[in-house]
Amino acid sequence: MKLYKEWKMIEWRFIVVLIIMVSSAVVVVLTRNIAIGALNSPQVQEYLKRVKGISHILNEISTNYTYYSFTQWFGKSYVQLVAIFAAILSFPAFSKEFSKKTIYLLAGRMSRREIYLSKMIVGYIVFSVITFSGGIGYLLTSQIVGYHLSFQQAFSWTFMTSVGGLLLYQIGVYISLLFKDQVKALLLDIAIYVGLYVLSMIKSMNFLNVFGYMSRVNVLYGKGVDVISTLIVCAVCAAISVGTYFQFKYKDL
Amino acid sequence: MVKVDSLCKVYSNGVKALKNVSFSVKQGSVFAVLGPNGAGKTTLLKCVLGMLKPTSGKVNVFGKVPFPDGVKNSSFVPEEKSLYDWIKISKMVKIFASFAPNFSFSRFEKLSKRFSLTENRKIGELSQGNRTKLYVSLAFAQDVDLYVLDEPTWGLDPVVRHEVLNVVKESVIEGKTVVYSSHILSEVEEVCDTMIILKEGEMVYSGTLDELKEKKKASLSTAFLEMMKGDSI
Repeated sequence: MKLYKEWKMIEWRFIVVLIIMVSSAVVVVLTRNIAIGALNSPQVQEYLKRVKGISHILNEISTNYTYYSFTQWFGKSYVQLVAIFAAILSFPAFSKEFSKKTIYLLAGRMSRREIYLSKMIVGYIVFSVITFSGGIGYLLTSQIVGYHLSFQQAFSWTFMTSVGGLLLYQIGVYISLLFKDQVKALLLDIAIYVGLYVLSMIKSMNFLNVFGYMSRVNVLYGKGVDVISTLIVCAVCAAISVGTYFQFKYKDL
Repeated sequence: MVKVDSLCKVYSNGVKALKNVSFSVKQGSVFAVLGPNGAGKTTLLKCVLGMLKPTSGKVNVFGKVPFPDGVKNSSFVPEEKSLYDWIKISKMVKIFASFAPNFSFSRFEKLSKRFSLTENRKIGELSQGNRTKLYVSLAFAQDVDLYVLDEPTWGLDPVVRHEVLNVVKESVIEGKTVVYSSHILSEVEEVCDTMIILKEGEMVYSGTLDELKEKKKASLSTAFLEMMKGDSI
């Protein structure tokens, strides 16, 4: 398999994104005491006395590390970063080759199947390493600092966020095939992610809530990976991947 | 080796790029595709390599239909000599070798010396001429049976242009086949065995250079200009 070229194309983006992901996870763990200190400050406490309902949540964040992990990382920043990185890593996959006309360098020597597979295999591996590094990095930092977080819960969130992230990545790759302009590909990518989120707020469209799947609140209450939802997300991802391949295979270059 | 029969290509925007083009290319020959800008030369080469789907007609290369899987045993120099601008030449060669079939580093070294390509700068910093030198060196460093060259001397000085034409001639002596598109009639005259001339997607001539000269009783450039004005053979 001719993967070296694709690796070299993505190498620096991978390193930068990996550093951002891991350092973000570390920062969220290490700033816990600062966050709790701020929550317990007299001014905030005074304010909370006047706002009903929220004090219970903030109290939970201060005392329950799993809850803190969910609200500050696995259910928030982690999912947001994964979505942003899915867009950043996927939008140039094909659109850059088309806009820079380097597609002829590849298509003059490799079959379309080889081009597609090399891009997807390297992309999937790189993206999976980044998403797992965010979850596992958070868990390891927590252990080192001495905070207790269940491995099963951290793994469940990490796994589901990675699977959901791969779906977002695959959508991004499909869009990058439609445009020769990289900016348009990136903008449509972001618009679709936002669209999925907004549409999922409508009750009948709730099944589109990829972000809800990625940050399953049920895990907080001891449940593991949602197998049915995971299979559905994987099936949709595979269907888009096959569709992208055939779109590329019969496209005029 | 390459057989094109009644090939038509209409783009999705309605532009008719090729109209009923037919020809065949023998193994071990240089086949030239001539025509002014917009005549359909690049479209024809891309159809031969399976990069574009013919609207109608047939294309056959090495006994196979090239679309959509492409032609494995070939090397292509496109009109746009686009490479990855942010990497250095040495890295580009390494990357190219990782996916280009039958690539030889020693052959690349020899070719780059012949074309006076000795620097190791970032590709984005290279002049148009040096990009062409690099692209042609990479393409001919592949040991394949078919070389498809779209304007392979674009931006080159006369000395290097002469050297590229020599490489083309040597390839043919080795039994390779070259499909060559160019605006520069003098260099086509120097290397080609057979050719077609395209005008607005239509084939206005197909045959050997000598036959054309004999029929028109004129040089290639005079015959070409007359055909572009509308004179038939």
